[in-house]
This record gives sequence, structure tokens and C-alpha cells, in this order.
Amino acid sequence: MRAVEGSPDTARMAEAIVQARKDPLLIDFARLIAVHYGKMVEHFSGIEDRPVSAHNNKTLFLEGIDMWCRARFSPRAAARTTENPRDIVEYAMGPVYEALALEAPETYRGGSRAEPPAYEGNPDDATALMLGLCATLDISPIRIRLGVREGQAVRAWGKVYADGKWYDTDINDPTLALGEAQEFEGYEELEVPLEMEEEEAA
Amino acid sequence: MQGWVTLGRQTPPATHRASTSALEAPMPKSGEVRRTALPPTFDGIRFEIGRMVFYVQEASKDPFMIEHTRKVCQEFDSMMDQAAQMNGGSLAGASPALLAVGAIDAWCRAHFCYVNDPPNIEVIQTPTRMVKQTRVPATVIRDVIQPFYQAMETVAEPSQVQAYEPPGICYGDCDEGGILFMSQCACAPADLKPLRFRFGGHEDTLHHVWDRVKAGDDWIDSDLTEEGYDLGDYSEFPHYEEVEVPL
Repeated sequence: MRAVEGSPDTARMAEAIVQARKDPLLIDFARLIAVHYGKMVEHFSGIEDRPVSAHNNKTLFLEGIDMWCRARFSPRAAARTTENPRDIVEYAMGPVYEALALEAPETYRGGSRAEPPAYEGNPDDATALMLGLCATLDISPIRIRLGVREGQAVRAWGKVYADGKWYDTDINDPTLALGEAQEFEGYEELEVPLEMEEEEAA
Repeated sequence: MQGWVTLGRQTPPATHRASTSALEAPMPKSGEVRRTALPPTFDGIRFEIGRMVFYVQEASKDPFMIEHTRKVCQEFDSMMDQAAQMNGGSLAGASPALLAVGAIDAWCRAHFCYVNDPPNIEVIQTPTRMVKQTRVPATVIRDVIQPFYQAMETVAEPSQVQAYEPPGICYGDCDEGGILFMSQCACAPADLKPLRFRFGGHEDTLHHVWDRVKAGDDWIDSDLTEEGYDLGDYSEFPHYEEVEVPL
């Protein structure tokens, strides 16, 4: 596992984000967690008498994705590990797909499952997957933001536009919340190209 | 956890684009999703319309969808009958077609959540898959979204958070919402025909799709994607087109 700070491979990250938006698993997963987070906020904000609508509320969707990834990609002790962040999502969605495969999903009872894998991969890959989840819901534009020290880019995180506002999202720093970023001497930004690719249009 | 953010605003529906590359693609199997990269041309839009019509036609013959729609209409009729009796009336003279449209629209609004598609990718699910999504047990969804329970306990009463049960919902953009409603109309026990997809946009492109159904003597629009809309409401556009679903 690479240390969080190092030389980020932004081209690799951007390509992972572009590809993630076409991944059926990630599209299903992003829709599920984003909308359910929105519904949960709608419910509890209503109880507090300050109702928030989740209707295509991309800020809420972004918050849910950030929160989920922050929780599931953080280091923890586990018998099984993976270096592929998609494996974490695939494990989470396994029972959903098993239920959907039934004629009557409501009868699904599940069964014993292996312990969920812990993520021990490159932090930039987790960041790219998180930003890819945003792309599946068209929470965009999406930028990769770089923190620069002594002329070198040493840390990468995301910057996402949702409902009229830009949000920094750094899921690899547990001390930060959505909208916050570490301070550096300088910053660079790369916008992830989500426009049509030539081979797709054929 | 930071508090939830309240600045969300609705974004306009994404322009729909379709592709010719999957024209011969077979119907997705149960659990599968059609995902297509789409050129922004009228040919592309016509392709997408073709898929939508096809999915509704297939659903009209699907025993799962027929049984689902029968239950939706039956439960709605029962609820409306009880309400009428409490007010000293009855449903005896009510139009079965209007009741069926009302039942399907109410079910869809209670279970369908609007999301955008990814940029330049058109995602279309079958109506069967969307209905099945609403039936995935809450315990399964709860496991997936467990991080939200932990976070929500920092801002709400933990016992209330633990008692929260995820609702049975499905998700999609306007064409998926249109397919979901239209498919159930095609399966309804009452005669709801003709069925039309209605497209709104400008002269050079179409932005949005919703449904229009003939119930008795009335044409009724249904757009599931706009917050606050009821049965009959639809948005104004400079240009409209309609496509009838042959059944």
C-alpha cells in the first residue's frame, strides 16, 4: 500500500473515473446508497422539523457517497484484504443482486457470508472510485486536486461540483469532512474528461 | 459527521442521447441493465424511444408485471372504497380506468426516485427489475448502508436511528420513470389505451420524456420525475412529440 502522500498518478486516476461511470455495478451501487442516504436525511430532518428534500439533491448524494467511502476504505484489521476498491463495493452489493435474481426478492433470506475484505490498496484508487461513483450520478464536473510541496505534487483528492457549489472530498484523511482539504504550499487541479469518447459513439 | 447539507437544488433533466450500436441487443435478463453510450443525434433519440417501447411491450406479457399491477390496483381500489364509505359514498360509479391510472401513479410516486444518468451514458432498466428493486428486503439494504446508521446516530436519537427501516424504492432517470409507469398501464386490469410517451424539448432536441395515457374519455399525463407534481401535471416545453406504444 502506497503512503497517502507521494506522487499521484493523475492520468491513471482520471481514466479510472471515466471508466467507473460506465460500470453497471458502480452505477447500481451509487444510485442505491445516494438515494437511500437522501431518504434517511429526509426522514430525520423531518423529525427535527427542518425538512430537507432528497429529490435529485446532488449535494446530499455527494455527502452520502463521501461518507460511505470514508467508512469502508479506511484501514482496519481484517482476515481478508483487497487492493481493488471495486471489491469492497462488490461485496456490499452481493446480497442485493442475489435477491434481485429471485422471482420474489422479498423472500430472500441470505446466508452466512465471508467477512468483508478490508481495503489495503492505493489510496488514490479509492479516491478515484469515490469520484467515479459521483460520475455515475452526473455529479460533475469532477476534478482531481493536487497538494504541492517544494514543487512536487504530494497528495491527491477530489473536488466535485454539486448543485452550484464546489466541494473538496478527501476520503483518506479521517480528520476531514466533506468540503475540507489539507493545506499545502500550492495546488493544482485537473478536470476529469467525462465527455463522449470516440469509440463509444461508433 | 457533518450535518446534512440543505443547499440542493434541482438540476434540469439531462439531454437524452441514444446509440445505434445496440439496436439489435436482446432484452436484458432479469437483474441485468442496458447501458449504452449515446451520440447526441435524433437517430440516437429514436433508438432510445425504440428501446422504451420494446420494454413496455415485453412487460405487458410478463406474468410478474401483470400480477404486480393487479395487486397495486386492487389495494388502491380497496383503500379508495374505504375512504368513500367513511364519507358516506361508494366507488360504484367510479371509472375503473381512472382508478387504475390513479393506483399506478400513486404506487410509482411512492417507490420511484429520480437520479441522473452518467454523462453521455444512457442507462435503461427493465420495469421488472425496477419493481423487484422495491422488494429487496430492508435488512439487505440496511447492511449496505450501515455507515449511514453509524453517522446518523451522531445527529439523531440512536434508538430512532436503529428503528429506521429503509423504504422499498427503485431509481432511474426520466425514461426509466416513464417505462415504469407505462408498463404497469399496459398490464392494468382496466383498459388503458392508447399509451403514449410524450417528449418535450426544443425544435433541435428533446430534453425530457413522460407518459400520457387514455383513461375512458380523458387523456392523462404522468411525470414521476418532478418534485411536487401530481397525476396530470407536466412541464411546458417549446416543442412536444408523442410516440404511441403498439400493444
